[in-house]
Amino acid sequence: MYRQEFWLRILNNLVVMYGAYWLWNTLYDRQPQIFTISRGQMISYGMLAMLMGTVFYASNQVRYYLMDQVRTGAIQMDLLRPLDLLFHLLARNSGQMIFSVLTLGLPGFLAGAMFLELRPPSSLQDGLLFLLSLAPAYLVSFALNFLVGMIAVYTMNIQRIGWIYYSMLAFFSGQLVPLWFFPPFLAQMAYLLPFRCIIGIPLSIYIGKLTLGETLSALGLQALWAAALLAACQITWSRAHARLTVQGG
Amino acid sequence: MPDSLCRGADMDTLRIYFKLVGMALKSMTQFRIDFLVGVVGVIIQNGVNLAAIGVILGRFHDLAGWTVWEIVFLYGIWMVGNSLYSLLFLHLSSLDRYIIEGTFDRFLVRPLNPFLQLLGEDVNLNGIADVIFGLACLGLSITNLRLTFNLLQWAYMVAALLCAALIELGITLFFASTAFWTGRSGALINTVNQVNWNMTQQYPLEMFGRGFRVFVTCFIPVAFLNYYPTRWLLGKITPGDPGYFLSFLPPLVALLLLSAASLVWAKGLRQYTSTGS
Repeated sequence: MYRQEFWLRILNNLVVMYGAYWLWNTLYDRQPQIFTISRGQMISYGMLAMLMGTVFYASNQVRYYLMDQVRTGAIQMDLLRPLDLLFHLLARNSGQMIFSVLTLGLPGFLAGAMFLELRPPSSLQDGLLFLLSLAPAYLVSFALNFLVGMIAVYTMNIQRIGWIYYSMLAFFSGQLVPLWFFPPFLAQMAYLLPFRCIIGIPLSIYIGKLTLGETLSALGLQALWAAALLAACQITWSRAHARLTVQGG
Repeated sequence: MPDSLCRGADMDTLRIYFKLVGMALKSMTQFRIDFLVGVVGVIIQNGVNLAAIGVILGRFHDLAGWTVWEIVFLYGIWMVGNSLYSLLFLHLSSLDRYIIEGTFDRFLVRPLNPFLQLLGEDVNLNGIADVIFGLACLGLSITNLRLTFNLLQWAYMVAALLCAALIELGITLFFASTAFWTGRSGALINTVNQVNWNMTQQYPLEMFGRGFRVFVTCFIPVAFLNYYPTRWLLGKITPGDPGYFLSFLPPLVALLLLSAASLVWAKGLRQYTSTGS
């Protein structure tokens, strides 16, 4: 029944990619010397950043799920399950994420390659390393959403806190503008925050901006952030569990 | 406003509308912290958009001939116009939810125009934060660009802002009403918003290809929300330039869109069958 919605969502992705396409083309026309990379690399980065932003939107469902469960009191059902909540949510959400990659990411990628000069990865090796880097990128995105969702245990409503999270992500992940264009102060902030693990790092690998050594240390950094944030999730959850109020329960 | 939207509207219905709005406001006071967080959210969200533009223009000086404060002005015009719309009409875009959940039916059993009832259902208080942010953008850019508007230009600006709100209302109502047939209009409205929020809101139209410029002028005319008025106000176009007349079309566009939207609404309403839930 909602087949048109599938096509419209792909169209939505194409629209934002189209915006990025013209933005970077216009800037490249004006001052190519500012870019240290080729036009094709820059445009591919810009468009894929937009696409990844919407694909990673799937991990927002962790946040919404937590909020709904706490709000309706249904979270007590989750507590009854003989399964760690964090693991339960990770399993549930990674399915949604794979669905999102298949129904949004791949079609968007193909459409971009067909209509908007989206380039393949700079080399086969970079392509594989890019795919590899998506795993920790997803874990970081999942963990951050879980942590934001945890706020719901205290405040009951986090819809609008979600906007704030999403804006921070769009800016500091390098989705809107690559981090290497940032002025020193903002760049410093972006480098200290985990957001760049989600979009900036994978895409820098994709377009071949990093040397092999840099790529490996970037992957290591991603893994560290993923581990640290998942640990933070576990700690926050066990604390929150203790003081959870079940509404109407 | 066209007939089908406000048939039978008199002082009484207006009174009822304000009563409904009052009730919506009251139910919102439950979530006072939520409102404050929402205000912060609006500031951060738009601050981030502008920061991204700022970072780019810090490197590149201008974007298709527009300097950073000119773009802030473009953004401010969009925000103020949009907030006037979103304050009162934002929830129209979720008409499909009312239809799917079957809650739309209750508008039909009450002896009052369903459109007015839908309008009175909700108010988007965060629009107030949008107005303030937008006005701040306008104030800052006017100061930094050292603009001195005469009376005519001020009047033009106010008219353009009002038209922007009506144009957005027209576009949303038009596409939302398709839910009467399809049961779902969210993705369609999302497409429009994508064009609107991510592109024409902050980027000058010169940047894009010809096809896109025609699209946002003739098909989904969001370029009239901010781009054409701003171009005229900033003196980026002078009499005799091609397309100069577009600067004065917003009222006409608003009128056409609202007429079309009210037709679709009326037609949809007539053949509406409940989802039965």
